[in-house]
Amino acid sequence: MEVFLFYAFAILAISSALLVVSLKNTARALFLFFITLFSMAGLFLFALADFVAITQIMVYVGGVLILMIFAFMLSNKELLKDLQQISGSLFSFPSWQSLTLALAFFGVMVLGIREWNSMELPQWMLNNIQSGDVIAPTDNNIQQLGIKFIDTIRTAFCR
Amino acid sequence: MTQYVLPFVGNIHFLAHGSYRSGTPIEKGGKSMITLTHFLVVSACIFCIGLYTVIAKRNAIMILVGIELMINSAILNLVAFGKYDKVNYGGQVFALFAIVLAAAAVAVGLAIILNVYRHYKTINPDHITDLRD
Repeated sequence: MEVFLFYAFAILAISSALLVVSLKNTARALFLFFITLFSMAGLFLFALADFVAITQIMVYVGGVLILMIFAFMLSNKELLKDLQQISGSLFSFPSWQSLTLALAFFGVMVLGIREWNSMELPQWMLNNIQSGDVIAPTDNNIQQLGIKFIDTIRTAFCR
Repeated sequence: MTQYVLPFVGNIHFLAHGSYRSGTPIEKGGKSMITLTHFLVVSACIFCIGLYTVIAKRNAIMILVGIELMINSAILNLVAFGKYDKVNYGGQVFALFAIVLAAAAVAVGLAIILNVYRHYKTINPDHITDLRD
């Protein structure tokens, strides 16, 4: 079940990001960006980072995206005209140079991930797995993060 | 499934030890059903989509959206690796720092975009060529 949910979130994130890229209308692309950010927050939950997911929703969806929509509305005179007319081509044609570059970079990354898969895990990860210092779903993440922020990181900055 | 979807109720032990649970949630050796590779591939996809957006779009706001996509994929990587670091929660702490930094950067960038629009009446970066020699 959780694998199914993970794949659902992943497909939602990637496909809505693709739509954000390929839509011509900037307003629609910005509203689709909501879906990408929400599903990325869902993916954070699967990495057992609940507080980061909540922060993502609060900061990005509540702050950054509203700011972007405001900037778009303030900087585009033809917003209403754009929204009302249904143009023939909804998607913009991908520019082949950028597509080549992005796909080449993706290939390099996938090759790197395959290489990384064939190797052993890094030593710190093996140590932590062996000593059981892996974040479990039953952990209280927020309390630990608060202790880390107030105690450890503060002493790093002002001692 | 409950442990994965609702981490907030993770410290309620009757759920964790009830009939939902089959074996430990994360086995020793990290052999959970969702491995690290899943996260890596998803974030690689998102990163390349953001890269394409930054290169191809002719709208400064969409370029900022692309940068946000790339930062988000980096945060996903941080969080996925931070699962294995319970000692000092490095991944999650740095993910929070990255989110706050990205929000601040976007605020500054949008202010610059608005001023550029007021000055040049366009937000296409190709048309802003005053510094070209």
